[in-house]
Amino acid sequence: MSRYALLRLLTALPTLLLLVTLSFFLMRLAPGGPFDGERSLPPEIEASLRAEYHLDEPLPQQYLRYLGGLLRGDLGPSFQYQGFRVRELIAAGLPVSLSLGLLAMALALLLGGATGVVASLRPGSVLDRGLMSLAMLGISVPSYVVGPLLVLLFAVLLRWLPAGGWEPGRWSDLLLPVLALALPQIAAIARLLRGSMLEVLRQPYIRTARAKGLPESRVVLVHALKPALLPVLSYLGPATAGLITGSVVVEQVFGLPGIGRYFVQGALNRDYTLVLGVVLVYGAMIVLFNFLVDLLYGLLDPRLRRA
Amino acid sequence: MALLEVEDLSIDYPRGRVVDGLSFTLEAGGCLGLVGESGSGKSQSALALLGLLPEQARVQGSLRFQGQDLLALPEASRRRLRGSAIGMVFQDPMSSLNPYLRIGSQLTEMLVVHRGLGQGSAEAEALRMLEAVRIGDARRRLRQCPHEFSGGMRQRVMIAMMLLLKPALLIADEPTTALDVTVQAEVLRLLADLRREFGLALLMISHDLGVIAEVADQVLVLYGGRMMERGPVPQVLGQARHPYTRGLIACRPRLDSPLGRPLSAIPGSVVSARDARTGCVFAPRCELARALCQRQRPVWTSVDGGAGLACHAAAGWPENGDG
Repeated sequence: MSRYALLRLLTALPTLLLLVTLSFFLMRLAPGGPFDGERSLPPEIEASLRAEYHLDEPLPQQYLRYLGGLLRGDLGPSFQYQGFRVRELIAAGLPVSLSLGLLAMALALLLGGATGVVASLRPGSVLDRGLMSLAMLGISVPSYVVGPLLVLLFAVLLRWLPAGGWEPGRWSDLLLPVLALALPQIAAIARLLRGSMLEVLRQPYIRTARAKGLPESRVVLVHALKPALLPVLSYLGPATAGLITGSVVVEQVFGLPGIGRYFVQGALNRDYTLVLGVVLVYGAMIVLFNFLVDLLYGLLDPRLRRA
Repeated sequence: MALLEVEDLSIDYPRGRVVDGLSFTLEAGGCLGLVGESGSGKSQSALALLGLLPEQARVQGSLRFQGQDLLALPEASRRRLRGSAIGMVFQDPMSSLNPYLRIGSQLTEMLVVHRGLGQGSAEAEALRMLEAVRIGDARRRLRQCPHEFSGGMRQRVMIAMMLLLKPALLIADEPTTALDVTVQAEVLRLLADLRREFGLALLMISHDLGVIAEVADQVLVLYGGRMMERGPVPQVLGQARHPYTRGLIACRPRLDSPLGRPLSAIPGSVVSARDARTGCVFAPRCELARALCQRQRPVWTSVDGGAGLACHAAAGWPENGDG
């Protein structure tokens, strides 16, 4: 098992290298550069800035220089936040983004899971149809619409929660962003789990569980839920990607100082190293989550355990 | 008092009736074979006994088990009977055990839920029962999952699970149909042994007359949801009177029949009770059928030796034998 885990992690390295390479050159394909502002700099100052950041070197050389930095754990200097290393910026933003993402994931699993199970128990009932209509709505409304709506309701009208901003340790700041980020995932997981529960509840082994005289709660939560969770588990990989793209928007809407905001600002300002650094972190997180999902899969499905 | 008395059991679905007027009694420790083609209502009747039919099914008649009227019991009491007083073994051992749970926990949960046993003593019981159904190395086996067992072993695990609480009645729905012939004999022998050992009554459902002849002492032949013939095995299978029973017996492939002789078959295809509301359900396929059979449902006629059947021809064409 540990050998398999090690192997899986090693194969992630080429994936990440490919990601960095593609992003590096794609960024450079975009028109403009980090020092093109509204007021143009005097040519000699711009030239010295370009030399300072090695932007005057041929592209392949810059690429190799960047990779060399990565090997030493250096993500390079930020062009926009002068005097800051990208590593420092990410280290400052990551705790906010991680709290946001992990809380949203936990909320999505709990609420989406409960909704899916409840809806599956009486398929076609008013409750089931109501929940699934809500879920459809949750999937189709994007977070940049949900976010402002939540602000309007809870911050502006009800004045229960702050409209945005972040103070370390004030968890109420995260409530609305987490909800906005989690809603589409709650909906997706609810629909997915309802479907797989319905499938599992038709299986002969569920009839056996009932013939054993087990209470219905045990039939549902032990005998049916475990197999029904497998499709949800495989959805967690894509869900991570969805949470990451969602967090880029949500951090912007709520003014949270996470790495998603750096990503947006970095992209707008052609802050090449900052964008690359954030992409690399995102890529690593997706790889890591998919890896964890595979491990969990082996734990849930005994038939895969020895493979 | 008989262990199980079924009287005039009928099961209706919105799309029609699947079991129509089933009656039989099963004594404690006895074995009744329920025979019929697929769709004849055997499994539906069994599920009705357990109270496991889908919601849209409507069950009528009377089901008395150990003197209590099953249909009048609240769901909670019926659930407590399931598994503890009435066990059921299903046809396909490959899909009837939960593939995601260890055998051990599937066995012990019976004792924990019904008896409130602790994990330790439940495991000891489970171990004893696995040994009783002749599964070797039982201690290690408890930690394994169903996919690590062969088909025959899974069926034995299933039987062990359903006997853990020493039920008075075990319903076995085609328990050997999905198994190899050699394994089949093994499981049948095991069931017969356990029946003696535990004083268990067995309701054996099968389409295989050979299986019934081997284990049952009473047999009930079902067709299209209705009773065709019922009685002691030697009488019904040895001197069948009903044309359907005779047809079933004639259809059995025999190793000693001359080579090249085609297997016999009952012409036509199976009907269900909902297709024929008047007349005899078997009439469309019966060689002896006359106009009366299409028109009037044959009444149940007792013959000597505790047997009975529903057939105009066997009853000597009452109503002046017109047609």
